[in-house]
Amino acid sequence: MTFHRQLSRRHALGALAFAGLGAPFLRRARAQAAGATIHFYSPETNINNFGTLKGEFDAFFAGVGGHKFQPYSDRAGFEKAMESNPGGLFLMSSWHYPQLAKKAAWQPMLIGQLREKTTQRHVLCAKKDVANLAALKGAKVLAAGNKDYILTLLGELLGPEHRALLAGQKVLEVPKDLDALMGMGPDLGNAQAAIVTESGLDKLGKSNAKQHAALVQLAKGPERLLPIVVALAQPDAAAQALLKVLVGMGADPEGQQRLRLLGLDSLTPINPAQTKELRK
Amino acid sequence: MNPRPPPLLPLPRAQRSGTVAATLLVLLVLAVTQWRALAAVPPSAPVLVVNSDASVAKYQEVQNAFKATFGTDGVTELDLAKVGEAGVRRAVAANPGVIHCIGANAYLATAKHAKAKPIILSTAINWERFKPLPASTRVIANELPAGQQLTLFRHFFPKLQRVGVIYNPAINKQWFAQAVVAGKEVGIEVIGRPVNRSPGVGPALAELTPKVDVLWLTPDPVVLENEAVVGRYFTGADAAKKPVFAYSAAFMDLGATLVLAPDMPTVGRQAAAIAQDFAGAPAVSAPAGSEVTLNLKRVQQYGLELNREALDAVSNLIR
Repeated sequence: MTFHRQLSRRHALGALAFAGLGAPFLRRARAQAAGATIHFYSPETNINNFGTLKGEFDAFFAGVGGHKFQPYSDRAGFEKAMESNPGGLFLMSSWHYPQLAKKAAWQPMLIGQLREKTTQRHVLCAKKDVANLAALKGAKVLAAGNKDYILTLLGELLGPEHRALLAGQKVLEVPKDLDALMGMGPDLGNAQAAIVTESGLDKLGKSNAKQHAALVQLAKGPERLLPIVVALAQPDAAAQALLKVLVGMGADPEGQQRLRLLGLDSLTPINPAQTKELRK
Repeated sequence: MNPRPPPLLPLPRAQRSGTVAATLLVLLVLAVTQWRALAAVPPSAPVLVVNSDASVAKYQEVQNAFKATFGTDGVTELDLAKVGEAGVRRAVAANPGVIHCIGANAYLATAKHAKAKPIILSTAINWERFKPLPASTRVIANELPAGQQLTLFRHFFPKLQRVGVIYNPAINKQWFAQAVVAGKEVGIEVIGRPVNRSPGVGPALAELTPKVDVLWLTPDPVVLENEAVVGRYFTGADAAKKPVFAYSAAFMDLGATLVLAPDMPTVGRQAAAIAQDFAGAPAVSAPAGSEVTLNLKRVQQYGLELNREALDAVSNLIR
């Protein structure tokens, strides 16, 4: 009887110890098995490719930890997800991050890379008959991205001297750089100017040299960091596993093909100088 | 009883200053009222949006983007499929400032009642069939210009050399001539075969296919006369192991490799911009955004060399 009582007490203590020490391990193991989620929102394009992104990334992640990709079409939905999914990873624009109300809680972990660069620069292009920035008064400007983002870029490109032009500018949001550039072509005649990345302009040069030669660069913006991945300061095991997968994607042909859908070659650990720049 | 002075005589000084003060007060009140009224008025005149059929996803995308850009104040929306032409007639009678017709049916039902009212027509295949258009109409074409499509062909497939197209010269002679010129600019030879009637499509296809790398299906009523002709077009191309580039995602199921279509939300934003500045808008605008659908499996199947850097321009990727 005493023996039985001792045994059951021992069992109870064992169960308690398991509950206290073992359960967190189990939870972590389960989380790892279920994988983490990377949430994505970009104000830098208007390409409606959310279904493709989800399908492509989920299919790739299925073989490397069962992680998930969750794109958002609107900023509010994405920021709400940051509040309600603190264990997740968030792939976002380096323009957006400094505007987060609680950015101190979110640690930049990775940064996008394209053609071995972690920055991109925007340029303001116009038809050759537009002599200078002042001649753009009231002109229609095409650009990829949402309106807030485009107006920020336009303000930077116009500079303090011509910032007053911002008020009268007609901005049309288009899906991608090539649309913005082709919008100034002879067939379309939709606009007098376009804001595009340097790599977008380079793509036009390779595809349609004549159209490229018909354009003039009126202004160059500052180098801006490519999209970043942020997480809480201490990501859990599942998020850490996903970070590892993301870093490896650029070296894997299948992984890189997915990153290419986002306009990136790879994701690489962010350095302290880049983090400092983001937190300015 | 004091007789009032004749109206043309000056009033006594005290009475005059009182009247001036009263007039100023009235003017001030009027100015404030006017200012408040203007502040409450939407930036443009009221707009009527007539959607051919709101259950069609692409029409709804245009309408949603239009509202997101223009705002909803002063905007009345009608679903032609639900309210019929009588509903449109009543709405037009309410005298909207601008009417945005989404799709050809909306335009046909509206234009006859609208007389000289400003109309924006979008999302209608081959808008030229409505020519001559009244001067009060602005069109956003539903077809991407040939030059834009050929630039995108070159962007996705840098090694592409010859593209074949079958067309009806009665409708698309000028379009074809422009495509040839645009092709030269991007290093692609556009080879065409004119066909006047749909029975000629098969023989033209058989003769053309071996000479080109890709077949380019355009919205030509002869080539697309019926499902059987379209079916034979795709079967013939596949038998010859030649990819088909098309203009609507509806052709993906038939075996298209690449589809370049107008981006519907961009069309909605363009229409909103025209509604805000109708007088300043050109009579016809091309769609400013493109939607790209790419079938990777077919790219591999036909041995096309894909520019991987172009993948960030793809909206729908099929494997």
